[in-house]
Amino acid sequence: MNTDFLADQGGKRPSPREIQGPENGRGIVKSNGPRGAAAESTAVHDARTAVRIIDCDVHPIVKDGIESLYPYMPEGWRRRFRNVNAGIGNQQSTTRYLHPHGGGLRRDAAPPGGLAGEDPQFVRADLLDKYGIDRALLISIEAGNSALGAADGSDAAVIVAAFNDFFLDQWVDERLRYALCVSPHDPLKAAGEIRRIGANDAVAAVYLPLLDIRMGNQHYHPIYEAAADLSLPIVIHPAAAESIYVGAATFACGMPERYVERYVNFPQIGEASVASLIFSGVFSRYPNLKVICVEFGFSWAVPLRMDKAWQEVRSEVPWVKHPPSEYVHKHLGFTTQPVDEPNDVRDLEQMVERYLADVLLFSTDYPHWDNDLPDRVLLTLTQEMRGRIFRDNAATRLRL
Amino acid sequence: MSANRAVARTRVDVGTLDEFPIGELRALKVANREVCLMRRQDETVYVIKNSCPHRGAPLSKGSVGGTMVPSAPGEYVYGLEGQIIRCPHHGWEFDLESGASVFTGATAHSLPS
Repeated sequence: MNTDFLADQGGKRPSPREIQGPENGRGIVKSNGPRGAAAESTAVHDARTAVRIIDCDVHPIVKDGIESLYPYMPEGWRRRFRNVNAGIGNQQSTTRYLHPHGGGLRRDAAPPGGLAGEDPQFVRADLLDKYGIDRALLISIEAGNSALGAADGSDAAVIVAAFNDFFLDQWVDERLRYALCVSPHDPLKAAGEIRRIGANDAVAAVYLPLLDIRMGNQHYHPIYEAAADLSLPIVIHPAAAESIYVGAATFACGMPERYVERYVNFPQIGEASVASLIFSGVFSRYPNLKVICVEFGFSWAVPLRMDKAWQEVRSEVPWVKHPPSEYVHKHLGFTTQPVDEPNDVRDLEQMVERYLADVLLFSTDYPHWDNDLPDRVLLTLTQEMRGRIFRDNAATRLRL
Repeated sequence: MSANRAVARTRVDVGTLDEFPIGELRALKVANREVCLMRRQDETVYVIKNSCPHRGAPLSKGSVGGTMVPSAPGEYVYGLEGQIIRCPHHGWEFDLESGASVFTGATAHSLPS
């Protein structure tokens, strides 16, 4: 696998035709380019840049389910969860929003006899080595889903702590960094969890599964304070619990009625969170806080509407002292996957270059079915832009 | 004439039928091209390019079955059993007979044997 697609192309921007390669000529529909000039570049990678790619969204799962977490819990809690025959993540039963093809994991990313995402050695070989990814942020959706599935904040706090200790014990290394998960139910317990393990060098962020409470609400402030104290960005990510569990974040205008509606509407939650964070003054209160919206999309993140509204009704939010776009660029980040696919990829490129060059962070979402692999997406961007999106923007936000 | 058609007209010995269990997707290199071969219950053998035209994922790691054919709102009608190959990544579906994508007409270059 050629991993030199970030290499210098001598300032030349490959044309979409070059990027799309010979398949384009045979009428293949829109494609961000499975191969082409960028992927086949023979230019030498800039040796001064030690880190080539940072992947901000990789999903591990706990091999063998909740039994594997019991060694990381006190005896009383172990018995409590055993007594109720507890499960984690998707082991909790619902048919709502199940993937129409039977599962969200890539069939070809599973280790022999196992499930995709359960074997750290396999992930290192199949993702990091294969694609030249030097740092990856592990986000346990299972942990977030388990936290949101619990009604009792104490249950949720214990179970996310067990997830955190499991992954810090069995997964992390120089390349695989971890977003420690907190339960949103009890923000003081969550802040305590951040202070308990947040100084660990392998921790690069705090993963906050969202309740149906706007992100700017004071409910979350103890979590922001602890994260900012430890220089950890807050990461939000769909937890698969949205509009499933009462209390978890919900979608606008009622419950999505099928998987695909929910899938394309996740930007609603990202957009609501960004507006709430900015207009409630979270970034005035915590000037060092950074928030990364993972897998909520980015084409909605162009902050033109917020700036217009702020100019018009600023007096309602006098604590917002700068145009909202300034807060976006200073405090927020948005990951790339799933990259939108306009018929002409240049449309996307122009929007990214004009508005989002300093806030987009590359992510694969490996090993999920809709992952974006780094030699297949965003290939039409210039070398300078790719460097920012595939590496620099994450390096300045994650605590690596 | 595309390279694919050239391959289609070249006889290449890839083994006996017995070596290809019915319904199993098998990745092969034929005339320097990665292809995916499948033998169906009715002894038809299909060979398609082993790279999804969307993002290049190996179709040999996908699945073969039917799909929900176009229907009225709120109804599911299953059809084309054994005729649809689905990409293991983003789920694009291709008709093994034509190689065409079920929804776009993009082709995975199915080669009738």
